[in-house]
Amino acid sequence: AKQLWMKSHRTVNLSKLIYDESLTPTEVIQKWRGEHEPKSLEKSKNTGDGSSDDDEDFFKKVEEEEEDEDDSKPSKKIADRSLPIYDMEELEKYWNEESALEDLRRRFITANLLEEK
Amino acid sequence: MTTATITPNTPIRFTTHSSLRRRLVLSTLTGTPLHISQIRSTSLKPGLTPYEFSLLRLLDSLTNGTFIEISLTGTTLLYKPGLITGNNGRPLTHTLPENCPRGVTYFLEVLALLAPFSKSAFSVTLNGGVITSATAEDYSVDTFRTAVLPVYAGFEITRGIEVRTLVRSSGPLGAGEVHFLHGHQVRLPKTLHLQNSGRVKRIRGVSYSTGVSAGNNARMIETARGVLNRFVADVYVFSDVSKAQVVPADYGKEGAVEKAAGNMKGRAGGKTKKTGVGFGISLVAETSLGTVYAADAFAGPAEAAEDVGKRAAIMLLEEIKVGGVVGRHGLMSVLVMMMMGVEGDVGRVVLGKEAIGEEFIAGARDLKNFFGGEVAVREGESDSLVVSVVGRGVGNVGRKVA
Repeated sequence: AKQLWMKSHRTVNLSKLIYDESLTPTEVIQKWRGEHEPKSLEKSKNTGDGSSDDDEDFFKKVEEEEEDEDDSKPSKKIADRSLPIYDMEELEKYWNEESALEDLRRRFITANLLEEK
Repeated sequence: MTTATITPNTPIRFTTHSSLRRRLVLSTLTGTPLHISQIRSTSLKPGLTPYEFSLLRLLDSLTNGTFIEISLTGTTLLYKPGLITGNNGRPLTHTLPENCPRGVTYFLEVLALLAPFSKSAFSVTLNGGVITSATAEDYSVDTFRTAVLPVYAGFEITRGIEVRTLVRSSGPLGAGEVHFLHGHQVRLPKTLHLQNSGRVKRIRGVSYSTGVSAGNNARMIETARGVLNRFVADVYVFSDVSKAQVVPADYGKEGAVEKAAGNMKGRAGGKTKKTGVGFGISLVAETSLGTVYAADAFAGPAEAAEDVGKRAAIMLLEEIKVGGVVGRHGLMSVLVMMMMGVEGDVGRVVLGKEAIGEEFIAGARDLKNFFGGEVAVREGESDSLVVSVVGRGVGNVGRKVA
């Protein structure tokens, strides 16, 4: 039941999040997928205290933006891409497992529907 | 219709060059002026890139009454779209800059979205720095033909559409040629109601080699089949082999075109080189209900053909796993087409959860800015999302009388 609640909660969140202009699209996705909080926690753990933290953050941000301006950088995600970005290493690992392949079989017409249910 | 077609005089404002192409398309479709500032303003090469200029020129030649104003540094753009006339049905040849780093589908996608709402048919030949193969950011022209155009068939836009690859060429300096024909103009597109994606029944593909041994094709196909054959036996990948293009030795260098002043033969003292060498593969999975999933892989430097084939096959599996009634490659087109549809008509598509990415969020926000309509998202069955879009009845301004 808890999982169900979590699930519905997440989707309600998404339709609200989409048009929440205070968040960037990247943040929306992170929040929706539940990746946001652990990341911010990590950040606060890693960096020091108080004002120096702010300074570091400030400098980091500029750096990132500078990178963003460069078209060749993969971090430039939202600039008119058509192809999705794949993490090939991850994918290869995932698709090397027999269970993953068998799991996908139900999406093909060769699947045995009688056995499944 | 009344609310949507009143064109506001104040332009919609954006900053940076992100999603520039989508914003230009939406602006043209809705007739809304567009103002973009801070285009690469902190970059070492500020302002619009040559291929973005080229896109603007292409839009200008396909419309009537378009007003474009670009600041001296190119960092600010004011775009007031005109009517989409498709060059009044006359064939148009558009030359891309020689060093265009984007695949030709960067331009074809724009054409495919604008053409249904044109006053007359599109017939556009793209030449110059045309890369027909996949690049890091764009899919190949084969994927466009076999996977993107079928997306429009869902809106009953089917007649007289053709993409002819006249000359194939790979990156980074392309020299290909593609002919885009679109003869099916509509007043308002029908909306979509797709709940079920069906099961994958066959896999098709095109492997292409330009200027390299045809054996690469065979090797790519074999490894791709090795991965995919266990799921369906109906895997057929076409093999296309062509020569590399011979171009002047200074091809793609900055200022080389201006120096030559139209004299192609005498360029670079008559010296030539080969360009557009490479190979890649485009795979398309088709389900029993007509949904297509696509994957594209292009050989990196010194990458073995086997790896490219395997990469493409794995990407295709991933796309099938993501699922949804539209593949990720056609997601934005579908949303835009549904928004363009009859006012008040609700269209629904089921998407896989993983299909929702930053692109989707940014796209949905842009759609709201231009159309004023929101997309609604709710939970569907088994890890999917139902996205519903209400048509805004913008339709084809050039065809008010159907």
